[in-house]
Amino acid sequence: MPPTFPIRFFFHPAIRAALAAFLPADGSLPIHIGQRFRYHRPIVVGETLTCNVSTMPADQTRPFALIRLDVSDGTGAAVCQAESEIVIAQPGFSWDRPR
Amino acid sequence: MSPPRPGEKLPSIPLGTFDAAAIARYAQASGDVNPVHLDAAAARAIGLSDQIAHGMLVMGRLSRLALEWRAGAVLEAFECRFTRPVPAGSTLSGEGRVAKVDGGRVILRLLARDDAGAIAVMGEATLRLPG
Repeated sequence: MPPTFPIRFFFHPAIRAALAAFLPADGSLPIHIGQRFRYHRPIVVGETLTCNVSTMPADQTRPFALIRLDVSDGTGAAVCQAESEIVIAQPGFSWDRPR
Repeated sequence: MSPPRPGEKLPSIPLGTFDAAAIARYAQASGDVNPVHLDAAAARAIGLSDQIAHGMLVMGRLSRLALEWRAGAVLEAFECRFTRPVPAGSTLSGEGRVAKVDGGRVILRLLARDDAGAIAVMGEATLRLPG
């Protein structure tokens, strides 16, 4: 599969539900500012994988939220990790703001 | 093929135009239907000039630089920072160089630039070479 394919897992309904706390219902929008993948092996078409999601909200030391997926196969062996950096953009958002 | 050496430049490649139709197709394929990618008015409401391409769409096209560089190389890690928005209609190109060679592992630094030469994405790929 393409190396960026695991981003698809972030949009699984169960994971979206888990991430709802990052998406305040006030008109602000999430902006993806960084992405990391670590691969233990390629993902094979047709296999069944499990994702564990963990989140770290933005705070005073890190002005962006981190969302991490740990992907494993049916034997429990690690397949890949995907970590996304997200800022919540509100009206007046500037991409050039230090972060 | 000669062994890689730090500073070696990779052949630059066109990453294509990120028009609204391509962005819409990627939204459908990825599941990322964030209005910032699909709705110009929503994007403008938060201060952007227009709807923007998904960073992951740019990252995916940029990955070709690493994947096509050496036959048989295995991608072990890939990361990108999306340093500026890519408004719909932008055309980008990809470039890269060898940053580090450590035994059978090579770290590539990758960039995606727009037509004005501005850096939209900065990336790093770690490859394990065959043999």
